[in-house]
Amino acid sequence: MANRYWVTGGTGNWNSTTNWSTASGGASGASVPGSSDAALFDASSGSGTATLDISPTIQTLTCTGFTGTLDFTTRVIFLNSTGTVFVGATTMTVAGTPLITLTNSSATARTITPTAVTETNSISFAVNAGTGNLTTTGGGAVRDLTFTGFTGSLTSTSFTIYGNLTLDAGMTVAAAATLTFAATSGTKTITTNSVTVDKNLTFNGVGGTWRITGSLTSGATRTTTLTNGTLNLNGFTFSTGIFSTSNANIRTLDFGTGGGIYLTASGNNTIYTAADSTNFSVAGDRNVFVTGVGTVGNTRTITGGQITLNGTAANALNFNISAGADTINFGTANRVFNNIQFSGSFSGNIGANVAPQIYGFFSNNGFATITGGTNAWTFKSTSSTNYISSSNAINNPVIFDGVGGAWQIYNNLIVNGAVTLTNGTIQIADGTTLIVESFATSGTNQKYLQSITPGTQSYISDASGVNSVSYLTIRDIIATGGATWNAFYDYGNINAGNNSGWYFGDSPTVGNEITMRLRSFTQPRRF
Amino acid sequence: MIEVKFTLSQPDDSYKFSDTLLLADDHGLTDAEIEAMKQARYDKWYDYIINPPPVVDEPIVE
Repeated sequence: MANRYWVTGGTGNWNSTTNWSTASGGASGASVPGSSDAALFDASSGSGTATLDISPTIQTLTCTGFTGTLDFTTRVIFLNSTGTVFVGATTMTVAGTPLITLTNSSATARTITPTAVTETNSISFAVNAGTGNLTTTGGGAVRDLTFTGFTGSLTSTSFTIYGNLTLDAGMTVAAAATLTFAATSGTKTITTNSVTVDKNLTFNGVGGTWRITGSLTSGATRTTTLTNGTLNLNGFTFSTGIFSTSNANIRTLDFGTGGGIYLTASGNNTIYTAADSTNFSVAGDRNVFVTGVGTVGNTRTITGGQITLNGTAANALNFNISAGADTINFGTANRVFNNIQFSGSFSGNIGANVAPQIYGFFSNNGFATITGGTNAWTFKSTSSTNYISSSNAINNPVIFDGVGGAWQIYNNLIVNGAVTLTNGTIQIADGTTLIVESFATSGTNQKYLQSITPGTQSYISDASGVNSVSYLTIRDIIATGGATWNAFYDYGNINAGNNSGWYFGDSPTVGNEITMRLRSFTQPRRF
Repeated sequence: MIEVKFTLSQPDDSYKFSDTLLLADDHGLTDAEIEAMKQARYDKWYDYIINPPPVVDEPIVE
């Protein structure tokens, strides 16, 4: 293998002996590097532009110290050797459509060292053959990285991809390290061909979009972080241990239709966090499946957006927890969730004193024991009918507060805490009972308590005390259990029919006033 | 290139997996072979999710 150094003073075209020398900074006139040669650009190569007027095949390319520009135009550099086949430089500039293709088909390892170049100066690499390891040196950055016809392994380094990532179905990706996707414009694709990418994944490019074109699977111990940009799951299945997107940057998680995120971490982990949901947008199905097999004594925390940090109905996700025997903690601050569902083989607990703000439905029939506490669960739907179905008692206060929202309570439900209806409609399933520790209303908006089917009664039950409501329209509800149920007309309540157990008369205040006025009218005046 | 999008799940509709097969225009595969490829993809993913392999990080090359 002969070395060919780029030198100044020639035509500036690759395919010209006027720019090639046998020594660094030496005289020009050497042959253009061929398939048995190494091409080198260095500090003595000047700051001019080297233009590819052919698509050369060479053994290796080294650019250490080069301060000029390598203009690929639309040409490609083919590297046919093994070992370290490419060394880039942060001092150089690239132009055109920079693409380097690695063609060696042997089992011998290859390394590319692109260095930590900027997005503008990054180069695309295509690996078209080989069965050995390919290493992209840690800390480096590439544009597109494409594997086709490669059946080796991408080794374990942390590097940045500014463009597309395409894996060959026959290759492997070594575990550990972090891949950072950092494009700042356009839509980049990630095509894994079902190859497991057992690495941390970070998406961090202001204005960038990444779209997966099929399933994407990383390991149960890996974290995916959305820092900036848009991650478009495109309706496919994305599996990772942990998903984190808690910051104030502009970012979007677009699920598309039909896919979802599988969170597979177990142990004591915050498996999802969007605690700071400032500038966080969500689109599509928004389904998250929690499938890690947590064990007794451990806690997995699911941290929805904190309301004080812009957690809203629009960026709340659906969580289906279907495996584990551990504790699921939704946080003690007011954090938003859309649907919360326990299913499958889950047999653990919901953590103490959690305070979820639920915009969708809650389903938990025999799966999670609700530890309870003094913090309230708030159901906040404002536009649609959602359901609450839990054969396990809710051992927290419960607040229903959604203007225009409605909640259908399926089956009998026990709430070992105060139930407060502030806004919306509670529908108790026909013939079933909502058992409460106390029941009250709040505010002056008209609210509704009813069965689901007009004409068919359901029950609300409290063992003792006095429950007085206001601005409540009641239909088909039997109030029972031993407590006193007051729904005085002068408090804005409306008897919409087929109720029993309620006192709908005037409140004692009004009654006493009328009595006093009557006495005043009938007493003889004394002069 | 032909994209074959598919979704498979457990009989109870849990563990739903949505993926794409990328096939050459002249792939020559029968429908049965394509269905087998889909099932193989699903089985590989499901096994990885249900029975995560022991974590054996390879040394990070810097």
